[in-house]
Amino acid sequence: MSEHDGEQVLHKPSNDHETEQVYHYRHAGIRERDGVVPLWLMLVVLGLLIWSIYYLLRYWSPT
Amino acid sequence: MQDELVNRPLVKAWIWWSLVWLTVFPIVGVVVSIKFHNPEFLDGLPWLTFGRLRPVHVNGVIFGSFSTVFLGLLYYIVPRLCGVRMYKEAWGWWLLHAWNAFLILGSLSLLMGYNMGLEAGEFEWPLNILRFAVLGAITLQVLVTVFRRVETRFYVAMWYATAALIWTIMNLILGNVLLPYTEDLTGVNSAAMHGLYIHYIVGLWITPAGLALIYYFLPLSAKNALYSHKLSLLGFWSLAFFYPFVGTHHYLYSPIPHWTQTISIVTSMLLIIPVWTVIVNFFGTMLGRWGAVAGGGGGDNYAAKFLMLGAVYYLLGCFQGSVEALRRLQELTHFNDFVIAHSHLTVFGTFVVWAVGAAYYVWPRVTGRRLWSDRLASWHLWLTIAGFTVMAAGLTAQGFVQGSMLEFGANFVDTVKEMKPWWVARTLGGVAMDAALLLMFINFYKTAQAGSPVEREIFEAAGPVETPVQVVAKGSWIESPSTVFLAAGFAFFFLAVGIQGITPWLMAETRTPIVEDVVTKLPIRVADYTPQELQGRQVYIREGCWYCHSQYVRPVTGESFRWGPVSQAGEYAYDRPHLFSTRRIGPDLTRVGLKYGDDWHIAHHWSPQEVVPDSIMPAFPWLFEPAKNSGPPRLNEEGQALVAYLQKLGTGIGDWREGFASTQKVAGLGLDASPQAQEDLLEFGREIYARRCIGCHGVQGDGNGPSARFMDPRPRDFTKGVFKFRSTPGKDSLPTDVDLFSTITHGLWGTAMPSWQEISDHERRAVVQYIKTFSDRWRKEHVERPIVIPPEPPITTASLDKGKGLFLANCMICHGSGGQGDGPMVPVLTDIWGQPLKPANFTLRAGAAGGVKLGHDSEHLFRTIATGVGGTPMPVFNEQLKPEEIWDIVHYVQSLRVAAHEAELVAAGLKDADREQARTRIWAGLSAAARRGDLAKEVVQHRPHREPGSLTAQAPDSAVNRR
Repeated sequence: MSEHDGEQVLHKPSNDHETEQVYHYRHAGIRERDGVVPLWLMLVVLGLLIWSIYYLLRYWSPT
Repeated sequence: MQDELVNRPLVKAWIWWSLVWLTVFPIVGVVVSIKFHNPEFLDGLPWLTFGRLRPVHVNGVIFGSFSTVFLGLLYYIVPRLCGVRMYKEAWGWWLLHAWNAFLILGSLSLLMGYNMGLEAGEFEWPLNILRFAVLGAITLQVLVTVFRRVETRFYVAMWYATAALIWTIMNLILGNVLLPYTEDLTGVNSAAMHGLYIHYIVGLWITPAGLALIYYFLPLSAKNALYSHKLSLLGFWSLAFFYPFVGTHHYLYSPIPHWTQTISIVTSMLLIIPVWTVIVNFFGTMLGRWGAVAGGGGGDNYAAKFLMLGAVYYLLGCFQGSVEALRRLQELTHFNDFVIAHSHLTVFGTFVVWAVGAAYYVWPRVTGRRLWSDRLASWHLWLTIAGFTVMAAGLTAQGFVQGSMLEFGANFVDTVKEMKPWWVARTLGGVAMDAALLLMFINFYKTAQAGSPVEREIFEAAGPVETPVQVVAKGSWIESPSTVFLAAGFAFFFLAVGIQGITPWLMAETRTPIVEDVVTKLPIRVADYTPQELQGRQVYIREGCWYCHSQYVRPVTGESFRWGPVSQAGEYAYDRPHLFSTRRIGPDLTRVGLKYGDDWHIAHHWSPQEVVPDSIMPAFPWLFEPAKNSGPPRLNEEGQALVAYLQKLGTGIGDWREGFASTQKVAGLGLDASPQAQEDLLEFGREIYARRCIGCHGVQGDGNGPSARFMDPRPRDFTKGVFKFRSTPGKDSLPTDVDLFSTITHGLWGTAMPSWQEISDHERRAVVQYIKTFSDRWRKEHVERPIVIPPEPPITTASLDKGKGLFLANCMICHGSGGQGDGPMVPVLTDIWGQPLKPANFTLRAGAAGGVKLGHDSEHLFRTIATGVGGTPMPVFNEQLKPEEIWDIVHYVQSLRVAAHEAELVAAGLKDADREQARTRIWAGLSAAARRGDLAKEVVQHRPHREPGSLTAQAPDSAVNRR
């Protein structure tokens, strides 16, 4: 494990299949992967945003 | 043990006190919970009533149990994530003392009744200053440390921690300064702003603070890298943008502008984005580590277990919170235990559990000793799971049960009774949770005293390293402290407050005390509170009545049929702070004014269970004068003020009770049941009588129930078989079942006999049968057929003139020339029960003491004149007067009320141009002839010389003026 300015070249955990970026907070000991946002979660976000626009327009006023 | 970054003794001291508050404040919750199913528990002591203990529990868990851990751990987290020691670290000792002083003095002040009337903002200003000073100083320490940091990147835990502090500093100004002290911030605007404040305490304090803890301690305790920085970004910024808008969802279906409610619903649902995002991040972080954590012991593994347990509760609780904001679900679940399930799932299940997990990780490191007992930690974990599952699942189910019962029209007290077994389960769950926290305290104490010392420094470990990965650069601008500080901390906060709080405030209709009169549909001005009513309002706030009783009627789930007309914004224009409330442990009180006589309120506050056996309301003996004689206890000044305030509630929208659909004197089909049906109903009637009537009318039906001593007039003595209001001919004739049903349904205005429209027709029919068992008359005499009421003739000036003449000849001697119940015979009038008699004042509004008991509607007045009033000197007139003459008197009596009602409206700002229209509609509310159009034009034309007596010139002794 080499180290400079708080950035470390680490070894990826065994549960990942691809090489990825990781940041190491050296004083806290925490490692943080750059990671991804899963596709299904993006679809959830998209769905909720579309529903929100519909709901705002439909229920802006009581009638 | 030396630490180059962290002051371990300081962190240790904060956690010691955290253990105290983690134990004490949840125990207060158990005491509160016991009162739900055993209201006599610790009853009679002002300091220990539900209304005083509840805010101690809620504020204590938020600011004591959770926040003390979070604030203490900032002295651990911030230096480690910044790579420098905390700025002015020594302040931490003084701040710990000051924080404890705030918690202790604050709790005592709440117990003493010092309460600002704003949920989560109850503390008085000295305590708010103390709290603000501590949080302000810690915010300063954190920010300076952040900007001095040597760590290149700004970790997600720090985004949440700094944002939580900044948001809360601003929120405390909003809730502790702006809300209580801004003169013009009243009524619905007070509620709208308070909705934001209360949810900022949850969403912008404990939520980001809790997320800071789990983001910091989960990767460390699970010994794995955080799953995704990109998810961290999505989670933080979506929370920062959506959360500030959601607070208005606390008051859906209230008179707060509809569009702000809609925004709050949409943003509540959009909170699914940050919640699911962080949950994916946490579960991703656990990938490959579940087995090691689940099977492992020691502080680190138990930390991870609690953190992930809290994550599961976070997912459940927040999903519940989001969908709860949807209007249809809120119709059913708002105000009931579903909301309490949600608040416990989040505040305790998530954030307290996360704080506990963080403490498990840190405690061995600051004591230098390994966790004393894995077994105790395991008991802690499983007792928490068991107890909390019972509590959360039970409360959620309760919400649906009670909500469904109310939606289907059940009596409110019945729904409370239905909840009692569930509340016992809640108490047991709470006991398990508190016992678990006590075990934690013991384990931590023993760890500090007798835990095996660590052989070497326990380093923060981030898990195994195996395969080389790429180096990541420093973070982008979007995650810099300045962006978090300015965009999330300030910009989004002010955007939300501006849209959801300030914009509605600028709308005139939310601020002016103008409402639509329910009877005439014309605008009128609501009267301000009198000094006595204001004093009563303060008592109402001090005693925490508002924790159990809401004050707005929603246009859903039949509330307008249960309690009265839907709330209007103008009604609340003088309310500062608003008292909408978020909970209905007791019924809504928006329309309670004039529902009962003062005597009912007096009896009810002396002993609620004597009046309503299934009530869980506490007694308030300190609102009564010290006993001096053998008479009934009398209210002291504060008690009188409270009753005056209650009698004012909901009366500003006009004389709505006169025409309230739910209390119309209509009878269900088949009331005159067969003998067999009557017998079938009898046993049920006995049960209903025992639960609804016995407190006043007594076991023997002789009008000597335990509350009867407070009543004036005394409750009816059923043993004589004499009833005032009947449709049957002859002096003191037996009433029909329909007559009794009508009286029970309608209630007797101005007395302690309330309307029983809230119980089912079946129950009313049954209790009618049971009431008839108290007197032999029902067995010995035959019930006559009701008199026939001929069709009501048109209302003309001639009819009114004739009616006036007949009235002066036949009625004036008791009712007075102006129909105000002040005739010359009054001093000598008594009824057969030996009570002084007060003839009705026909000019008073519905529900006013001394007014008519069953309304001014045509048929009722005709029937009463024709058959007399049983047990009183009021004669039977159908043998002396022709039907058309009785109708003339009826119309004249109605004209007295019409004139008085009109005068009340004029006093409330009715325009001259609207008076004719108003008069027409008032007549239509009382008279069938007027409703069908048989109201002569000259009757409603504005011609002062035609007015009966001098009644149009002023509102004579109107209820409004009296009160």
